[in-house]
Amino acid sequence: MSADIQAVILTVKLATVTMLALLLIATPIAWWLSTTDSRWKNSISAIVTLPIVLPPTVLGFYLLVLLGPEGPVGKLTTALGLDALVFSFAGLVIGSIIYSLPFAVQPIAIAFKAIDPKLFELGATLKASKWQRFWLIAIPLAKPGFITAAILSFAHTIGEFGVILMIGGNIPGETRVLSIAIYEHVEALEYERAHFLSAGLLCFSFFVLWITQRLKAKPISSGISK
Amino acid sequence: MSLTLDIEHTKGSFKMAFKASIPTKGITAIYGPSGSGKTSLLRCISGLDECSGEITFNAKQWLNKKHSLPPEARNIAYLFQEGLLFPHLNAHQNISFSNNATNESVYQLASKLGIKHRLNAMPNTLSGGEKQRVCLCRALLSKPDLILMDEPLSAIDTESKKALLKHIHAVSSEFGIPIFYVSHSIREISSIADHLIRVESGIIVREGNIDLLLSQADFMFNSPEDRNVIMRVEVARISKQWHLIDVALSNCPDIEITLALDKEVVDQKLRLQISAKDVSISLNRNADQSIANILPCTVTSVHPMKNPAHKLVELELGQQVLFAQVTSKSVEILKLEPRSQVWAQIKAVAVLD
Repeated sequence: MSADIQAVILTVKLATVTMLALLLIATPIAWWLSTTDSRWKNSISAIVTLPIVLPPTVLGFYLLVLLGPEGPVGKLTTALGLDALVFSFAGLVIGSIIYSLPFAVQPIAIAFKAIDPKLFELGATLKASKWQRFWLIAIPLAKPGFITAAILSFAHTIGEFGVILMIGGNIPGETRVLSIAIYEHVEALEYERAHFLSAGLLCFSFFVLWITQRLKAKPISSGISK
Repeated sequence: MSLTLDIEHTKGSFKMAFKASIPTKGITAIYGPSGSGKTSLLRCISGLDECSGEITFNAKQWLNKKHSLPPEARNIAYLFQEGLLFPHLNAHQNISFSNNATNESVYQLASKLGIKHRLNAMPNTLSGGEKQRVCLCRALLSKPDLILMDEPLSAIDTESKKALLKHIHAVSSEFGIPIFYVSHSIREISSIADHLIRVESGIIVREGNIDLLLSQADFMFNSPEDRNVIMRVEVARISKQWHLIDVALSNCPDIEITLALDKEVVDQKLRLQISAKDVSISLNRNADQSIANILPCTVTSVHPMKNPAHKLVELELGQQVLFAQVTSKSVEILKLEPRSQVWAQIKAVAVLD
């Protein structure tokens, strides 16, 4: 049983780190996508969205090739005297970030796009610099997008399986996350323990979707003040 | 002190070229029909729209061939049509957005503008008039060198319009900040502006002192069918006994007009609107009749109207222009022609302020 709890803790840790990293990475990408007129916009948008349609095993396979000791990233980490990224927690974080990227970028980009461009003009006429307009207008008004992005990327990482199986394997405390643990219990015909974890995940998923719906019903940007 | 501009701007297939030297003192109205390029002119001045050419504000170059100062570096304030506020900030936070206004100065100005009790309200709970007053408060506290207003009264009911016009007029003289005010309403403009720019089809067609322009016959481009004049007057005396006030024309103090006193007169300066339909003509003074305002005028020209039964007679009243709509038959009988000396009988006068 302690192995299962260890898997739960590891999964939550992975999802939290991935979510925080994604909020940092997805924000500039989403801002660029929602404001640029560049001819690269469609290509970059397609690359960011790719993980939605790509089978996780394909993504996992290429990450394995890339991060493995013979891959370009693997060679670089070896040359720098670092441990290989495959079959490690750090490798899982990188895989999870790429796998959940569209789930963070899209809600934030949609929220940025929904802001009335006149508000940025207003900011400019009130002497706010570009940076101030981003922090004082774009970020607070895109708050619902950030909340959705945080919930979706966290939940998506919790349910991750294919990518982790390919690049993480099954090392307790390092890469053995919930979905892997369930798979292992089923393989070993330990249905009761698989049930326990699966039902937990089911409840968690329902709760996440319920919260997301509730937040959507209450738009934060309109500033309810009653 | 002035803003000189010589710029070109293209919006879709609409090409605009503005050239003017606008005094940076008092209120300058930018006037013209919808789609004439008034807002584009204002946006080019603010730097929100890109244009080519040169803009110099009080000896400071905002735009030249080499570079263009961004809006945030021009030290301006801009009032948008709809009373634009940040939806995530309350009225107070909106007012102190990106400026160093102290709470004390916010309270002071807010109470002057009548919005102190609404400072904690979110924008979606404010009325159109309140929003625009919050915007005006914010604009003033950002200590700009120039305030640009793009039809600020377009989303406001009539009562709040009057109040806001008064506020705009008052702050303009109190703070000494020049205001460029875009509007297509001659009523709004004539009650607050000192200087007037008329924009038509993407160019500035007339520019000058508002009293001078409004007293010129060809300035009012409304059709002969609804021709009217607007004149500035000053209160000369009040007759409490008859509930009447006598006002003298600002550009010709010898000429006086009598008005009914319908409420307490607060301002010494008023603006009157007289429609051609309310003016008739006689060759003699005809003192034994009820019309109070009978003024000596000279006919300058007689224009045909759409309905052949009527003619529009242009009159000169001192330096002021006046129009009278009379029947073609009367023109014939009275032998009205340029330089005829006549008496204009004014049946009704509207007070604008």
